[in-house]
Amino acid sequence: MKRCLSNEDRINHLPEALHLHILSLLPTKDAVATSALSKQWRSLWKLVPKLDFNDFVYEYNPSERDAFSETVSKVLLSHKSPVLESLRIHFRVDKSRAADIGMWIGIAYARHVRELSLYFSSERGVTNFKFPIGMFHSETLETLELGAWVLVYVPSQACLKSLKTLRLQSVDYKDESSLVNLLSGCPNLENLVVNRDEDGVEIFTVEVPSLQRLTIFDSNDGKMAGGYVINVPSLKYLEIHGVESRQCCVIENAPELVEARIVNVSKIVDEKLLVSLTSVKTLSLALSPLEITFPTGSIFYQLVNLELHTYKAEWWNLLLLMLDASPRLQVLKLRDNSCYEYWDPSVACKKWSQPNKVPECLLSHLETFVWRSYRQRLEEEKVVAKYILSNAAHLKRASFSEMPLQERNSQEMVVELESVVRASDSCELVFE
Amino acid sequence: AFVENIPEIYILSLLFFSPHFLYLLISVSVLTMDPIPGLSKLTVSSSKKIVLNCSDGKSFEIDEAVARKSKLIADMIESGCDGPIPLQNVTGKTLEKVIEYCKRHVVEFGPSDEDDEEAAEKLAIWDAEFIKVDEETIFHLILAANYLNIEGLLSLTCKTVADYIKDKTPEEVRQIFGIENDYTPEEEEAVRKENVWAFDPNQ
Repeated sequence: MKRCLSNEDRINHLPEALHLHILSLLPTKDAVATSALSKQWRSLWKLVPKLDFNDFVYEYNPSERDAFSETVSKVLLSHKSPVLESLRIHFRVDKSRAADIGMWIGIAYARHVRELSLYFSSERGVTNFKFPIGMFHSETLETLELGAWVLVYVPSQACLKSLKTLRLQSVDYKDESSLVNLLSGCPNLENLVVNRDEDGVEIFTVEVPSLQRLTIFDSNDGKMAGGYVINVPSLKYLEIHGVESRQCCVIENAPELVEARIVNVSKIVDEKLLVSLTSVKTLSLALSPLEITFPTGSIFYQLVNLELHTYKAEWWNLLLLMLDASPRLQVLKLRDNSCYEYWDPSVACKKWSQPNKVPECLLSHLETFVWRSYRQRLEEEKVVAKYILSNAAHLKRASFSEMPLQERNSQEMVVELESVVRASDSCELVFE
Repeated sequence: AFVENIPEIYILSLLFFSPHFLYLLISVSVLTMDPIPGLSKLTVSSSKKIVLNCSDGKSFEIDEAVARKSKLIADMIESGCDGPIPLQNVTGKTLEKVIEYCKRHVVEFGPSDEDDEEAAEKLAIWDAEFIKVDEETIFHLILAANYLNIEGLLSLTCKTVADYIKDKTPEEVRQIFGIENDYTPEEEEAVRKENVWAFDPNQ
């Protein structure tokens, strides 16, 4: 940005509220440093309703950690804004800081904080730092983020009346009832994001009548234990990553579900996962039909938009199953994320076999076909592309994107696809 | 979707022959918030034009949907303001830029072959180019976005200024914004001592 050539104090012409708005977009360290700009700016930082302490630098040296704690305490105590909208503290903590942390949370709650983000990366098993129990009682809190490897102990039902968003990032739970007490104390919870691995909970139960969005990232190490019971009647959006080797994943009761993303889910013993998704309009799957049970007979009545990832074994057969089960499909997207490894070549895959009957959605509804990163690593890709083009009678647009068009391979692929006799006269074929 | 597939001529002839059907369509469009093609050509107020008059006499005519990105203008429309809207606090040059932002940020309904992630990325890239303007323009945009109550534009402009301040020493910040240092050296030293950690260049 150009230097200001005239001496006009443009930033000082802004009303104070806008100064505060700008300062609230800075990490607290930079906001506090503005106290040295001029007399007008000396105490402005104390009125900024957002505090953000993000200092992973204080990771290794205990005395530096102490210094950081003192800094946070000092800033909180000299802070003058009557309302604290947001407090974010990200740093490495241990048990010795428990009293300080209790005080910080106390001050924040006294200032009617709306958003609290405490990301303490503790050392798992070593410190077992516990979040203070009092923090699960607040009238004003709307967003709460907790992490990581610290203990969530909720001995009686929480009281978080205004909480709308809850993010639990790799926290440990003292027992299953802590989780239940926490979730049942949030009557207005709309958005829940959970990252977990081994956290002391066998059956992870999510029973939240108000929940609209649920995201689960699971990274256990394949011990074939535990599972999920999810009962969320108002849910509109579901995202599940990496639930592998679990006993069960039961989604009871989600009739309002509109969109779902299921990635890397496999080897679940008692699984009715896909059955519970039959009301969705938009679905994104990164699954292999070899690793899950496809519910035969299930129809995705309202599915309009389907995305399938092509780095999974035998994905083409999942595609066929889905096409057969989705009579109203309008948009089909295939996507090859080349950052993911392909499956183990020794896994036996059934080849693509031409179906006897063309799936109904191809004949009557499919209008858009998009293939991102079409690379033709396998023969199946070409076969599928040709099958869609030559059978989708209402196709309006087929696009193959992210192709390295300068390469000769790509040019050959383009020619081959363009020469396919298309079922739809008005189909536009695009390569980018 | 039912209505969009019917060619306009049929809609017009239906409407001509059955006024009740017209009322039904309008109520449906109000309830579902879907623009009905063909109807906008009749005198039904679904895509009205709004005229904005600036402080320096310039006038702009824009679609209602674009104008509504400003909460101030949206409220005025809600309370029945029909004619040209006077904007005493904004000059023509600034308003032109504001309108450019609003046009790009009007949400477009309908299917597209890019998903939400891609659309958001493209929008972010557009925003980054849009805000590459001189300091004077940024401050005028902040004031305009604040006055007109356009949340996205206010966030974008304030974030840009915040990014200039971040990781810079007070001397550098003063130079960029032309702030006069009215501290004596002793006073400034005292202020820095109060919060030594904030002035540590190592972090």
